[in-house]
Amino acid sequence: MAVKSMTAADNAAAPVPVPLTEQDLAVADRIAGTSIFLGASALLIGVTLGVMQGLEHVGINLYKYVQPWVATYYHGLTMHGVLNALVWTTFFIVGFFTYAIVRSLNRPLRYPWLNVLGLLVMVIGLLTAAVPMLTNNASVLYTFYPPMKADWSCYLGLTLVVVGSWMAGWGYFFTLYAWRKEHPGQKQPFIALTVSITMAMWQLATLGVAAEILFLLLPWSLGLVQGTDPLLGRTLFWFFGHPLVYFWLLPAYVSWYAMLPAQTGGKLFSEQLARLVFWLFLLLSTPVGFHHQYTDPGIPQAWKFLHTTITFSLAFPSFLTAFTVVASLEVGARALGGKGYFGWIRKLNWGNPSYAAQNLAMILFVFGGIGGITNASFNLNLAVHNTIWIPGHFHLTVASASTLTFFGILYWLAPALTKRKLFAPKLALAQAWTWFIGMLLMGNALHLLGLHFGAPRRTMLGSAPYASPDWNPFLMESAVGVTFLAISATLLYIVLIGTLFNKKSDVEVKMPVAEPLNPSQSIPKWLDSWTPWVFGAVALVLVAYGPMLYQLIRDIELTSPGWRVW
Amino acid sequence: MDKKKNEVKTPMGTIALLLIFAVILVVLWSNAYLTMLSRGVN
Repeated sequence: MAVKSMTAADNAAAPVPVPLTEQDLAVADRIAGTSIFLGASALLIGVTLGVMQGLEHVGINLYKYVQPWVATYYHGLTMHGVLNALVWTTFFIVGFFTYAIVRSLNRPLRYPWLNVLGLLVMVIGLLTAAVPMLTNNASVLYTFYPPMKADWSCYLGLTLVVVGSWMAGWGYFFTLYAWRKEHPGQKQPFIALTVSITMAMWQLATLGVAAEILFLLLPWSLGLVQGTDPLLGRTLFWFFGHPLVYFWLLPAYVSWYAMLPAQTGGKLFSEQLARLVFWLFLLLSTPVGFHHQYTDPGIPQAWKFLHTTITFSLAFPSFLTAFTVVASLEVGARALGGKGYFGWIRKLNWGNPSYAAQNLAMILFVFGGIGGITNASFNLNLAVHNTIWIPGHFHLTVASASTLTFFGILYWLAPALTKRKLFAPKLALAQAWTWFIGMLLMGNALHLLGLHFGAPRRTMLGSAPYASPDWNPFLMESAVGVTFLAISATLLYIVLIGTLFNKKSDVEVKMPVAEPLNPSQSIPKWLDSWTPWVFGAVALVLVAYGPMLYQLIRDIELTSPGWRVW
Repeated sequence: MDKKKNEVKTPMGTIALLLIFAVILVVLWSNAYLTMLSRGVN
C-alpha cells in the first residue's frame, strides 16, 4: 500500500499550512550559523592539538611550548577527542539540520524558542565542561571510562550538551508533526524525514550515556557515593558510543543521498531504497555496543555474539548506500556525456570544492567501512583491540567520511548563511585534496602499526621506551599525513574566514536538492510510517540489552575508587 | 509508453565499482586475518 492523497474532506479538515517567511528563515539561519560557528571554532583547537600528537609520535615535542594551557599529552588528547568528536560534530549537525529542515518542509520551525533554548543549553554545557578540561581537571579522554575520574562539572557539562541536542531534535519532531497535520496523506519530504530519523536514533542512543552520567558518574564525582562500577559504566557508555558513530555518519548520508547528486547533475536513484536505509539505521544502530566490549569480562559470549550479529546486519544498509549514492552520481555523469564502466567518473563535478570534498570523503569511507568490519570480527578484534589501528579506523570514519563531508557542505552552506561568495574556491579545492591525502597517509600508517606491531593507542609513542625502530617508517608516514592535515586545516580556516569578509553575493545560494530519478515511483506506506520502526528499535534494544543491564544493575558493585592518573 | 518512460537504466558503472569494492574488502580482511595468524594468535 502506497502513500496516497486524502479526500477533499480530509484536506478541508487539515490546518492551513503555515508559510515560510524571510523572518522565519532568518531565525533558523541564526541558530544554524551560531551553532556551526561554535563547532568550527572547537574544531580549530581540536585539530591543532591533533597535529601536536602526530608530531610527538616522531619525537617533535611541542607541548613544552604550550605550558600550562596544555599540561600533558593526555590533557591535549582529551581536548582533541572531546572538541573534535563530540563538540564539532554535534554543533555542526544541529546547525546543518536546522538549516535543512525548514527548507525541506517549506515551513517555519514549530517552536523556534525550543531550538534556541536547545542551542543555549548546548553552549552552557560546553562552557561548563570547558572549565575542568582546560584546567586539566578532566583529562579522562573522550570516552571518560571510569574508574578514571573527572571533575563533576565535566560530566554535567557534557550532559547539558546532549540535553540541548535533544531539544533541537524535539524542535524538528514538532515541526515535522505540524507539517504532517497540514499535509494529510502526503509523503514526508525526504530531507526532513531523514533529519528526524537521525535525531530519533540519537534520542534512543543517548539514553545510555545519560544514565551512566546521572546515576553513576555524577553521584560518584560529587562524593555522594564512594566508588563506581566500571563494567556497568562501560556498558552504558557503549550503548551510546557506537550509535554515536551513526550520528556522525547519517548527516553525511543525508547530504550524499539528497543533495550531492544535484551538485553533479544527478538524481536520487531510488528514494525507496534511501528511505529503507535510514529506517534500518534507526532499527539497528543501538543494540550493537558489546562489540566494543569483546575483551570485557562479565558479559557472556552469547550476548556478545548477538550484538556481533546485529553489527554485521548494519553492513546491509551500508551496502545499499554505496549502491544508491554511487548510482545517483552515475546518472548525473552519464547525463553530462560520461561513458563506459569507469569513464563517467571523469565527468563528475570535481572542480567544485563542495562536491569534490564529499566524493573524496566517500572514497576514504570505503576503507573506514572495511576496517569497521574487521573490528567487529571477534578474533580480529582481539588482534587490533586497543592498538593504534583503532584511531586509524575512526580517523577514516568521523574525521574523513563525516568531517570531510561537513567541509563540503560548508562550501555551499557558509555562502548561503553569510550571503557572501565563497572565498578562493581553488583554495577550498586544495583543502579537500590535502585532507584526503593526509588522512589516507595517516590512516594507512596507523592501521599497519596496530596490526603488524601492536603499537598501542592513547600513548605518547614518541617517548615510549618499548618503541621499536621497525615502527619508524610508519610513524614518519603518519607525520607526513599530519603535515598535510595541518596545511589542509589552515586552508579551511582561510577559506571560511575569507568568506565571512568576502563581498556580498549577487546570486542567492540555495540548498542543493536532488530530485528522485523516478518521481512517479510510489512510496510504500511502511517506508513513510514511524510506528513500526520506532517500536522495532525500542524492542530490539530491550531484547539485546535488557537482560544484561538488569543483571549488571542487580549485581552492581560500587567499590572501585576513582583514579586521577595524569 | 509510460512504462518505458519510467524504466531506469542499470547503472553498470556503479555495479563495476561495487564489485571492485567487494574484492578490496575480501583482500584487506583476509590480509588482516592472515597477519593475525602469522602473529601466532589462534
